[in-house]
Amino acid sequence: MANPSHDGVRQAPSPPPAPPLPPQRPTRKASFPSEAIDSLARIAARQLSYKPPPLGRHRDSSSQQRSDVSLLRRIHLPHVQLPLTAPLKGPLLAPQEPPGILLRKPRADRSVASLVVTFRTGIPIASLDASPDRTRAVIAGRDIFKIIQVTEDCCIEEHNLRAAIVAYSAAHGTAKGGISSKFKIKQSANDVKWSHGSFDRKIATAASNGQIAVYDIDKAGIEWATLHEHNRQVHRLGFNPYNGSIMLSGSQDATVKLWDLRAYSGDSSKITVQSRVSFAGNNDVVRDVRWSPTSEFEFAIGTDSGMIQRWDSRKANAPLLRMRAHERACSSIDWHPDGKHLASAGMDKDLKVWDFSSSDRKMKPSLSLRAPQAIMEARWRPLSWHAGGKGQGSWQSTELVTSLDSNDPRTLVWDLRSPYVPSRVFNQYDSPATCTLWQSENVVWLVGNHGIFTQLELADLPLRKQRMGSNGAIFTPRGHVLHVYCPHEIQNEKNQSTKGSVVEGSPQELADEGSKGGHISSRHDAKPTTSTTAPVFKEDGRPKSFAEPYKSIEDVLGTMDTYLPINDSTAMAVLRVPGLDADRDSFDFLAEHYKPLPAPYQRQASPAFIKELQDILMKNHQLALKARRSLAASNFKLLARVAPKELEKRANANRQLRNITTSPSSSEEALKPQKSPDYVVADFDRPDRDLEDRAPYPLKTASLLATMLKTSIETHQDVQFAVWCIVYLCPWFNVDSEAYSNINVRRNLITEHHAHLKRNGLHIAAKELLKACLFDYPTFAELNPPSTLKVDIVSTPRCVICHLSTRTSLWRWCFKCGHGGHVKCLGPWFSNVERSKGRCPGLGCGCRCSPLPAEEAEEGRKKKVTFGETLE
Amino acid sequence: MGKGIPTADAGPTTTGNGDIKHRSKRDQKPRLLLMGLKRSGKTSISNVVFRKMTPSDTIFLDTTTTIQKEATHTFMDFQIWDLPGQIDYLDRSFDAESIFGGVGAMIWVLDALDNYMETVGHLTDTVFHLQQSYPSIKYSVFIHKIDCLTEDLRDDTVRDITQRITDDLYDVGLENPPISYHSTSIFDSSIFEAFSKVMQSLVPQLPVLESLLDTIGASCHFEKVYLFDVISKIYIASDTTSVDLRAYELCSDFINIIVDLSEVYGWHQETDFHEGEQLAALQAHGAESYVNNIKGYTLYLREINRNLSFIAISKDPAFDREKSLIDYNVGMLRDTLLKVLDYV
Repeated sequence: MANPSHDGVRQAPSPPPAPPLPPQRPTRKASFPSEAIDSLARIAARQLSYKPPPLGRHRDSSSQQRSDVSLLRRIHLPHVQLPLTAPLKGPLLAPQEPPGILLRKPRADRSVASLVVTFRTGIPIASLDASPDRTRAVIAGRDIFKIIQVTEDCCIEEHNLRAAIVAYSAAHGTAKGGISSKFKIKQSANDVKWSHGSFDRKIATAASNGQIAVYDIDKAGIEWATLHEHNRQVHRLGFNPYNGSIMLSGSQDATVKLWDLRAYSGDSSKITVQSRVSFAGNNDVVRDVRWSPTSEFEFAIGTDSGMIQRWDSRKANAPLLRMRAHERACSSIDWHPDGKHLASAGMDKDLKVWDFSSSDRKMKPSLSLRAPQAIMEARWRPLSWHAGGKGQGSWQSTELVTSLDSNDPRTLVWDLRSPYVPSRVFNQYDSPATCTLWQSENVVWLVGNHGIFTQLELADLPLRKQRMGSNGAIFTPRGHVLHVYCPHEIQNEKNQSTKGSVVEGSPQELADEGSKGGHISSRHDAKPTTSTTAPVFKEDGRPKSFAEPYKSIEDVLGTMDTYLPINDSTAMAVLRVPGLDADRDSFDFLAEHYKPLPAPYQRQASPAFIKELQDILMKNHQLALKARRSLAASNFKLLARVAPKELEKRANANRQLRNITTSPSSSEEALKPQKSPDYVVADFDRPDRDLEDRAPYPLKTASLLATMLKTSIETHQDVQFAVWCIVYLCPWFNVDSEAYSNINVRRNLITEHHAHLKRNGLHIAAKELLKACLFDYPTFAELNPPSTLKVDIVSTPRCVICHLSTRTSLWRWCFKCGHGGHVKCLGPWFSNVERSKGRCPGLGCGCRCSPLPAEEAEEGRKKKVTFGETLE
Repeated sequence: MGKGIPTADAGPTTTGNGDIKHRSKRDQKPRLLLMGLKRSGKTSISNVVFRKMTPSDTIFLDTTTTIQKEATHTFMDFQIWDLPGQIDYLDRSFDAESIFGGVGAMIWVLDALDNYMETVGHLTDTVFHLQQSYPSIKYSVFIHKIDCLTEDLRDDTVRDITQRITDDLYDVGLENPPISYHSTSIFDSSIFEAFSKVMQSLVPQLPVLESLLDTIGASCHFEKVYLFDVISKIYIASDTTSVDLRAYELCSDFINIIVDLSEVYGWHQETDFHEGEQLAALQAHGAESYVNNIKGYTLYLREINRNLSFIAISKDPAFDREKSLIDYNVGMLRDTLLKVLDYV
């Protein structure tokens, strides 16, 4: 059984540069002086010493036969790994290989599954903590309470505390031969914490019923002390990192209590401790409690209503800072090693990083990530060396490991430098981890309800980045295209087999994957490594005695907004698509002013309609001229000359046909049914009669339209004109263009244009387009269903024009049809009488919500047939 | 707060508080106050939660002008007083003792859509004055009508309101006032969830119930365990594991179905539809129902008494095999619960 007091047995084979100086305790008024000094001494000792692994057990002896150079070899320093591979540029100091060292299997033979070191118990494990020297783990759960020794490649059960307790209670307890219910209750552990310093033989567990049981490893079997002041479940315990006797407990009863294990009372059979301070959390279940790593007195709590609070243990009446961090319960918090930042994870799937050094209560999170499921636990990775490009690395702690709730068994590692996708994923079990812990900066320990203790090396998890495409592009509504190209070798499993040499050989890969730690960062193992729990930070958040470059979390987050080139060959380009953005002002102008044709559902070429068509085309011609769209302008003019005339001709022909054949069936063959016999084609003058005669070939509107569509879309990118023609003219003329005759092509064009209008905030133009397309492109209109704002409060009513919720600003609705919307949307619609004609903007709704004054008078006399009614 | 059971002030058994003795026996029921400005939704809340009014019907509710006292007779008797918002209760002309004496919890309903500066001011005044005379009252602020806000606005609004209240109270010297915040809406289950939290603070036996449920949850491999009040769909206790809100919705839907079914196919306790022995056995056992395998979940319901039901969600694939054992365990729990809640 290893005892930390024997730690100094074997010194590390002197890591090349001196390890960081032992942290100096900040000179402050100390309330726990003797213990603090003691724990400081232990921390210092911990950094300089390490536990030798059990000797023997050569894994994969065949690998020894290969040349040393081609092997990735790991030396059993706690945090130092050395690849002995191709010559590196940096100074590489290869220490002598100690005898009996464990050789790791080369990467070739490994997959993630075979890499992890596991300890299978088969009993659900609720919690986990590491011994002060981080070579052993205590795992606890309802039916389990064990200490296991963990080395690089095996786990050995060292101590079965539960068995000892059962044996003791069987011998001394009231219930012979079985475990009494009293003991059973005390054993179920929600949380377990291993103290340190002079209390490093003590383990505290949060039992049910609000009890805290403290055990002494040397006297396993009996409880050293019972702490029972909480009357509901205790969720989290925490030993002060500066003083192993000071413990916090956060409970369901909405309080946090501070205990000093030195101040116990009672005889040896029944020791109790009175809590020193109780911090009231105000009816708010305390889910997590964490001591600050840099300040002896400060701690933070996370509560069930999503609050995070910062407390000073000397000030018991109120928190220093109290903030609402999550919409739902905050399940876990963790201090960044710099003592300034706090990560909070919640059931609302958010993971947020807060700057806790400021006391601004209205602060925004420095960073907010969204996980795929509710997060149960989040833990910062300790400081680790991150290689930057060109050999410039820095010390950073920017990664977080999270475990999700029971619906998602994955354990995700997030890297704040590329925060929107988890950088690594561990997914091997079918239930999530209940507790995670960084044993060192490269090794994670996990336990879960599957009953398996897992030691996971970060470097063994493939980076997500490798699996994703190396370039991407995005369109902006303004017509810009952002394209990023980042070449890196996409490694498949085959490549990975030779990874040892590939990685070391390619500087690009090195630069890219430098953050992997493990083998690659071991190039920099000349850098001193730090012990994981030692508070190496000063209070201002800068690490102490760090000659090496250190990158604070602000630095990392600061570079996030601007683009951070990963390596030299990354390229980024911003492109502009002409036609989308080039003349945005004219686009907006035309979108709002292009005249629509009236009532496309009234497919009757009445003389009035033909006249109006002529007028509208000419007006649009002028508008296009005004917007300096010469091509569209000339197109409109041409159409104005040709289209009305052709319609008129057709009307004449139809009328003649109708005059000749009186049978009703023949009238049906007409493309445009003309049922009302009462139009007479007005004999308006035709000043451009000559045009048709002079033209070398008869100008057919259909063929003209086909050409115009083709050129305006493909050559001039004037989608606006094309869509206008498609929507308003194509139903009248049988356009036989190959490309644009297909209704799907047309519909896609309209859909895109509609989306573009909406993106640019031109809601009214978009609405008009939608209304115009209702009959020719019903499937397009279905995609944007009419928003019925009946007085139905259950579904959130949406504005009939911009489709956003109406509850955010002033709105009104029509009592006749029930449609309604924002005043700011409806105002422009109805104020433009010429376009809206006082009709409802609702799709397919013919309601005259705001009758025109003339119509109003007329309506008084006779009931008019509205469009909505003719449709039925 | 550190000494004794924190919920003891609200309990009906308390005699330590002197003024309780002076009031009539009827008033000794723990009392819950609904306060807030007018038109903030107080009456709607009490109607939706306790009278099963459909949320969309609340639009037709009139403004409350007098104090509405509503006594509920569910698992435990308590009163809900709906105070009209337009009256200043801190006025000296009011008999503050008759209103606030013996109040266990107060719910302040705050309209998130409104300009909340005014109501925050009222709230801080009220809390400040009541803290001096009645320090045992627990306050819950319901940031109501939250469904009307868009997702991103929601978070900002709630944070702003909580921050304002905290700051205002800090200014008058209340550094750590006993206020909890819930964002609620009557159109989803959040109002029931929030009400449950408030009601739980009035249940004196809560720690015991909770540890009982914890124990059964661990021994039967339940994901989440609730003790529901069948009529109002409020849960008066649950185990202490943290799970999604969806678990609550699932359970309350399940109860709805069971209640509907039992209204159609159930029989009244007095009728001798069944043979006497069988009925007695059934009553001793408590009605039971379970639904297997909805997306891998099993829902298990057991009647505790007429008002209370035990509901558990299990993900254990061996549920069917262990059913008899679970039945036995829950039976034991049922007996214990009845003892704890003084029904036996």
